[in-house]
Amino acid sequence: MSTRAQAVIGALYGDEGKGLMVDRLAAATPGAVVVRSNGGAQAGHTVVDPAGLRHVFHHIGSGSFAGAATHFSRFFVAHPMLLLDELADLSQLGVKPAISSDPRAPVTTPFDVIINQALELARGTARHGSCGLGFGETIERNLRPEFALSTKDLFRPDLHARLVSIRDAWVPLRLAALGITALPTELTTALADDTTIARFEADCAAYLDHVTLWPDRRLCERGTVIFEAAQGLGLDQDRGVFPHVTRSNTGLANILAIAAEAGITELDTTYATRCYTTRHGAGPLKGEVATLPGISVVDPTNAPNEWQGCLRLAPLDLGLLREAITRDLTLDRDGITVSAGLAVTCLDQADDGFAVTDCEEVMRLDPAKAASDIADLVGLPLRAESWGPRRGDVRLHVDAAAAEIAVQ
Amino acid sequence: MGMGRFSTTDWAAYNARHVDGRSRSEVFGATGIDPQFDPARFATRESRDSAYNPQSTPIILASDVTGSMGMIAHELMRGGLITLTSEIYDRRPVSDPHIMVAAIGDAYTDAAPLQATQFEADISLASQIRALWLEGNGGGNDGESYSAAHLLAALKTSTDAFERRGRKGYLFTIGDEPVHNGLTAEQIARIFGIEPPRGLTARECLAMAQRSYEVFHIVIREGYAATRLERVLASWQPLLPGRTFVLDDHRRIAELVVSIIEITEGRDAGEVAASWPGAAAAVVAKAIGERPKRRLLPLF
Repeated sequence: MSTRAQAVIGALYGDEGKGLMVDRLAAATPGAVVVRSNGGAQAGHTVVDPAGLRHVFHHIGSGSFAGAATHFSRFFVAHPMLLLDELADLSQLGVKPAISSDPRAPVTTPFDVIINQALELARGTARHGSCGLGFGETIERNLRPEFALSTKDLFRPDLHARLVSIRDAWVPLRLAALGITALPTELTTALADDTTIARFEADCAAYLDHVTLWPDRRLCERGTVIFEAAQGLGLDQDRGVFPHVTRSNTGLANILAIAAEAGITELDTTYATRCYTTRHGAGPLKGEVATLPGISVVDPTNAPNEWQGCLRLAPLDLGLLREAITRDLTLDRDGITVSAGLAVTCLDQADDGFAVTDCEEVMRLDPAKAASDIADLVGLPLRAESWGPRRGDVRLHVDAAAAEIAVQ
Repeated sequence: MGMGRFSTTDWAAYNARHVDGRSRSEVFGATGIDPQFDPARFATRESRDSAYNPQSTPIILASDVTGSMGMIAHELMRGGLITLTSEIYDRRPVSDPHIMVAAIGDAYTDAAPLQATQFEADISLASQIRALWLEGNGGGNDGESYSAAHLLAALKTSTDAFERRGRKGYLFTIGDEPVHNGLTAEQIARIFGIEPPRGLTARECLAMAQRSYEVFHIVIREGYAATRLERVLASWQPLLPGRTFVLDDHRRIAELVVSIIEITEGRDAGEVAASWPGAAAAVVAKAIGERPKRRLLPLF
């Protein structure tokens, strides 16, 4: 029996339109479950529903406006301090997603956030572009079994003792390893205050009440699977330029591992890119420019923030795009059939003509034909192109595939 | 991407926000019995062999959730039993464990004296446990309706282990009180949705369960049993001699249940107790040392 799933992956540095694509797929796939295959609450995938409701999805899958459930895979990093706030925001929009999580999903504690913020503050102007939410620190801590914390551990009667041990034994160890000798006052206070742990334990209890524990192995019982990757291939821990990377696999690696466990045999993968390139925070950005001629950048999600600064811009580099996707597609697929396609977004922001580069060559593209030109040059079939922020603005080359899944 | 909610000054706000700033009903789910857990509404709970679990072993964990168990029941149902089930899934003291969790109340005073989850073979059971309703009544009449769990096993479960392979499952009741002497016909009718010709004594309920389950009881030394342990044991030991255990530290319920199963499956009791790290070893050793047959061993 073949079991088919979809996947949406960012092709470069995030902000490619993954939320829009997942929303569109979920709307075409009744009873879908959106699976978070990497990242954590630091992701921010914007979806505007047909009625104009807008939400930046952090924990929850971007298919929620379309009625999809959410599943956190074993690679997703849970952040109990933030989940309830996002659920409250969604509830105001009339959305109450059903959420499940693999019991192995790692959990961020307040102490990971504190270390993360202390580290980025200590770097001053040389920040790495971290979001300041403790994602990478959670992965680092979980490498040590005695300090590891996964979703399943939140049930254990010794949770309090574990948190105290993370605070009293791990934090000093980690700060020393990072060469941080003094913390800003606010962080010192938060670290010393017992309320921090008490508050976090209450958040964990509430987290468990909203999240059903469900093993990745039985994922297909929850619905037709749509994998939603976070960040982009250019930020992959093994492929990006260290240290300006995220500590996870942003492409097919995690997705294939989950799919193998869940018995998924066919994977329909969409790589998403804007028709230009953006990047948050520090790190190399080939061809970076202050403004892009021919593009009117619209991005209400990425307001400048203290941790990541402003959005940076460059023309789309087809050479980089091709290389990133090709590398992702050379991974061992463990017997799973993978078909890949491209989605090009934000075409509505392009004026009459705009430039892309292919290696050193500059090309001018007509927005009306740009998506298929880009797909041809990258060597992938075109799956979708977007001409606005809503699913109705997506020109569909995915309908056939989605319809095929829906009838299975 | 791009979420940066926690600025350093947010820390004060995080800690200042009242821990229960959100409504209880928003944070905790159940405010009444969920019909899916009501034994009067389901025919049988099934534990079936499957490709994943070819040699299934049913295990029923039935905990007292009445007021006298106080915070212990709360902690057990919301955390301890989930730890216990994960330990069983991970350690597999028997082949392919299928676990059902039941919440026992008092048939004289509770609206929902018995609730039961499905049999599950993995951690997905956890959310069912958390959806059970902790009614919090009971107490005041020197007993709880533990016999309801025995009847549940006898009347409302169907297992491949017993029916196809003649192997018994495991049934543990857990609590701090004496056992009421069985159930009246009216109580059985209300709890199970069947019409019995007469009521049943505690011994009769137990005997029915023992046809297809190895039955044990664990006395948690808290609440009622903290001050009246002799009275609790006087009620249980004649029913389950050698199979009634006293647990001093309720946080070690997982270790004790797994130990009892392993010992019943033939492992050496001393070795099993010694297999637990740190303080758990002593707590488990003391609990299993309470067995009468252990007390008969010569002391050197």
